Amino acid sequence: MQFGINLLEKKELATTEEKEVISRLKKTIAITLLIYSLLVVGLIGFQFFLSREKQNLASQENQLESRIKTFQKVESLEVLIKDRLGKCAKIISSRTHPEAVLTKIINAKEEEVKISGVELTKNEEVKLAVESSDVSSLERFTDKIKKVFQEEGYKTIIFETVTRTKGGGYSLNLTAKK
Amino acid sequence: MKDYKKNLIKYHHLFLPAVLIVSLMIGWTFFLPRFGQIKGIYDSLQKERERVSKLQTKIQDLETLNEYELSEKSERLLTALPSQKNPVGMMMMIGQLAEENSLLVEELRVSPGEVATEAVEITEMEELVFKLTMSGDINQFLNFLKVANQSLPLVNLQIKDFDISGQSFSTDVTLVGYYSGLPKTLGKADAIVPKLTPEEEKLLNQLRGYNLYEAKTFESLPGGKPNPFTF
Repeated sequence: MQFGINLLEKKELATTEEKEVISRLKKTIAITLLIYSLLVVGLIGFQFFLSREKQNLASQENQLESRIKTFQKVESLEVLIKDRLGKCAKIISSRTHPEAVLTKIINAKEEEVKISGVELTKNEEVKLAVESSDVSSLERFTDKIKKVFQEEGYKTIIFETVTRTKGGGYSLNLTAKK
Repeated sequence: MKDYKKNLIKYHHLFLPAVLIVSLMIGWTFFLPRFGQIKGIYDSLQKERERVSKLQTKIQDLETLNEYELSEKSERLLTALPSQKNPVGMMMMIGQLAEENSLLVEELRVSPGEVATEAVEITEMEELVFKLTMSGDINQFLNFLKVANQSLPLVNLQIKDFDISGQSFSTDVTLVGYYSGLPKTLGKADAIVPKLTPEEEKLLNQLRGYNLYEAKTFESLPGGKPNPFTF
């Protein structure tokens, strides 16, 4: 039997446990690399897709805006109508309608009563000055006028002054407020 | 090489945490800013999509509008509330109304002030006040008030010192006329087309029934930026 010396380094054989560890490490590296590659490709791809989408939308927006410009006259007419209607509504709601109250005041007038002054300057206030030679006709007129103001939605009637004049007549100043 | 392998096997339990730390560092420096960029693009895309949808709706709305009909409506409304101060036109309207009702205008006072050109037109509503002293028949005067309140341009009438003597009267009348400049801008391209509410439609119909006293206007001097509302 011959025994020789091997001058080459003897290759150490890996144990089963070592083999398992190496294989596990390889797997970990492979999975990590795969995840990273997927993420990089996915992100770059998604960003590219979004940029394209943005460009498309921008050109679509430009087209729509230039289309809207062709309707400029129609749109300005509509805006003008809306503006005017808002302002007209304000004017109409703030208007006094003196003819309605005035007609009723004149209709309520007794023969002996003289209307010497009516003031209708605000929407919610009427000032009335009357003169009469007879106190009973003045009383009848005030009764009628109270009803008139109530019908017209006035809530307060204030008798400002009731005076007996030198000539024996009477004068009355009243204010009706809404 | 042998040592490296040996070390790797020896410290294999540290490998996973090391990979995690490296992943986090790469993620922090590379992925995080990229996620931020993508989120920014995505958000702006969402906004643009909304804008495109608004623009499409606006075009659909605009297509339903009839230019002829709108011109007719706007003309009437510009008669109701003129865009420029027009004292002479208003005086003519008052004169015509008084004449139609056989009333005497004893005095008429107005302080028109500055008559604006289009370039300095006021978009807010302004008043032009006329002070009148009138006399005549009461019933005619009541009719005058009724007609004036159902006429265009819109006016507001106020009465002071109304004095009756038999069937005749004398009074001071304050007649307030209004004017307002045209709107200057249309707003944003994606702004919704303003639609008329049922109340506004009702008001428009009401104004259609009013008498027209179209006042003659003076040609205004051109100046400033062109106004899209000048037709």
